[in-house]
Amino acid sequence: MTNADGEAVCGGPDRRAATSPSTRPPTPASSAAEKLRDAGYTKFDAHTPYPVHGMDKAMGLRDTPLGWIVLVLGLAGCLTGFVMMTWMNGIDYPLVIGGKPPDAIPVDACR
Amino acid sequence: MSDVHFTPVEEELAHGAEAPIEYLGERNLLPPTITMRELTDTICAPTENKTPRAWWIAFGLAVSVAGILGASVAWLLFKGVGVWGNNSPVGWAWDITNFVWWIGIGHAGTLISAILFLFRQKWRTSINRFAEAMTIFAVMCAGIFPGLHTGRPWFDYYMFPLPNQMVLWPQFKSPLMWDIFAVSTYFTVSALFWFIGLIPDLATLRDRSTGNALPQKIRRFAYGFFSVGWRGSNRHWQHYERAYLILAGLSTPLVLSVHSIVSFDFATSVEPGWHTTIFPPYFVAGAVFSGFAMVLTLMLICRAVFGMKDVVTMKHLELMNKIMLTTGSLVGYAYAMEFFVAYYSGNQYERYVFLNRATGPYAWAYWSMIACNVIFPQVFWFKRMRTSIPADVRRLHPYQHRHVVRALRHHRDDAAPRLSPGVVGLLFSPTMWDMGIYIGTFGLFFSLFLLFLRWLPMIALAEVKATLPNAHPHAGHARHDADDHGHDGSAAAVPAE
Repeated sequence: MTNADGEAVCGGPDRRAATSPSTRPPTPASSAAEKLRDAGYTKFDAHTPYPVHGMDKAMGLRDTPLGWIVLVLGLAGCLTGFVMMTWMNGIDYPLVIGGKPPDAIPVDACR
Repeated sequence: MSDVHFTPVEEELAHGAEAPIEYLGERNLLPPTITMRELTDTICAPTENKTPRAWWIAFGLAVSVAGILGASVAWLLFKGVGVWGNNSPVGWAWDITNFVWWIGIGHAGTLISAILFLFRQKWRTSINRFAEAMTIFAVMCAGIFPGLHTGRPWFDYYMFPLPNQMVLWPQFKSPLMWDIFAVSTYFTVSALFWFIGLIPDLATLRDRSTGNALPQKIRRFAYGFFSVGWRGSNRHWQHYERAYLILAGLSTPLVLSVHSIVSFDFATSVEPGWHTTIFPPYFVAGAVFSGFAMVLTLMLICRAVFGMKDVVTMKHLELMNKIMLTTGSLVGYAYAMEFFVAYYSGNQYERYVFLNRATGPYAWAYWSMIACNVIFPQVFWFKRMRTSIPADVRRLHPYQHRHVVRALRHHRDDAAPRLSPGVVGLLFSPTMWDMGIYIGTFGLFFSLFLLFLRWLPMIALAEVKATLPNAHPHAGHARHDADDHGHDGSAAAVPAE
């Protein structure tokens, strides 16, 4: 995963911070979180005024599933749009304009 | 964490007092002495203090000008598009010019929020909120023009894929449809991006609205409603950062695609001077250029008026001027290339159009455009100029850029050399309603912008905090938990350079 600064941060609770050579010295809050995590706590939280890099790992949080949700919904929207345009201009009411095929795919790509 | 292995540099950083931003090869953006508390106070102040009289004056003026827009649109709807100066051969004039111009103004916001984010340009944090707001308001203004130029705006719903009484569907081969979808997508994504970024800062405003007085209660409710339960939990931040990254990824192609699509309005026609492949990149560079000019202009005013000089520093302005220089030069290259290709094409109509542009009746506009867009930004090669110039001078010109490309080109069409001089001599001149709508959109823009300045944090607070040296995980360990709402980002002792 990536943090706000775009630095790669190892994701997943099973990967220990120590295995990453680029791990940086932790902040007091994230080292506290690491201690809690290592002690076996899972239901705790850290509140910060800005995202603290490495905190996900320190807390042992899973990677967020948001990317997959967006991917699935995005593809669904894309498919809906394509089917809509093909049906409207290609099947339901085909019009030949400029001698071009009524359901030309390159035109659909313009949106 | 005794089992962690640090490089010597990291070791030094962990124990020494050097600002971590140095470690990344960067310099501090904000004065090293500024604390998080001060940042919060500075940025929240305009929304919490009593409304300054100057704001009321500016807002009254802006709303009055927006009234001109209302009146002009009402007259247009009553009489029809004949009230505009458009006529043959200039079938497109200020309607399309203003549309393209306003859309272009918005591009700087998206560039700053998306592309600079993906390139990890931390300096964007001080200006992105501002620029994104500008994007959204500019797109709103832009949307007015294509809506009206259809002639019968009450049939505009034909452009949406709705079943209607004519049993017709929108024709997706029409560039008008491309505009509709490009612009509405652009607006939606920009608004979402803006809103997601606002959530943590709205929560800060909510948390600062303590007290039982009614205004405080209203503030607490309104900011609380829009901050959708934000508590600054790391679980929130995790989703937030991913959402932000996804939106940045989605917006990045939009920066390039929206103005490319807008340029297709022209490039897919067979008009000489328009039917060229250089248009998409040319339009995008021009858009970013004009947008940055607008951001700079507004930023210069606001940082002075609201005392934000520690947050938007000369360093920020210098970096923005560098982008102005780059895009200005790109636009200059496109101008030169257009001329070359017109010559090289061997097509007499192409050649005529370009020669006419530089020497014909609109030559004054063409050369002032060249001077402002290409020659003037060259002074930014010098650091002294980048860090001292009153940028306002540049704001007017991108408008001319659009105007020249559009209306001028249309005033003598490709058939012109073969037509009688009388027809060739038809020039476009805007009517008062053309001007009323254009000036009125400024009123709308500034009304919205002033409301934004008054009620929303104009600088991305959480993001700026994250760029402070002591916000970094490898900052010196000597910290004091003095921040107003957090355990981590205290800033009492920041290493001075």
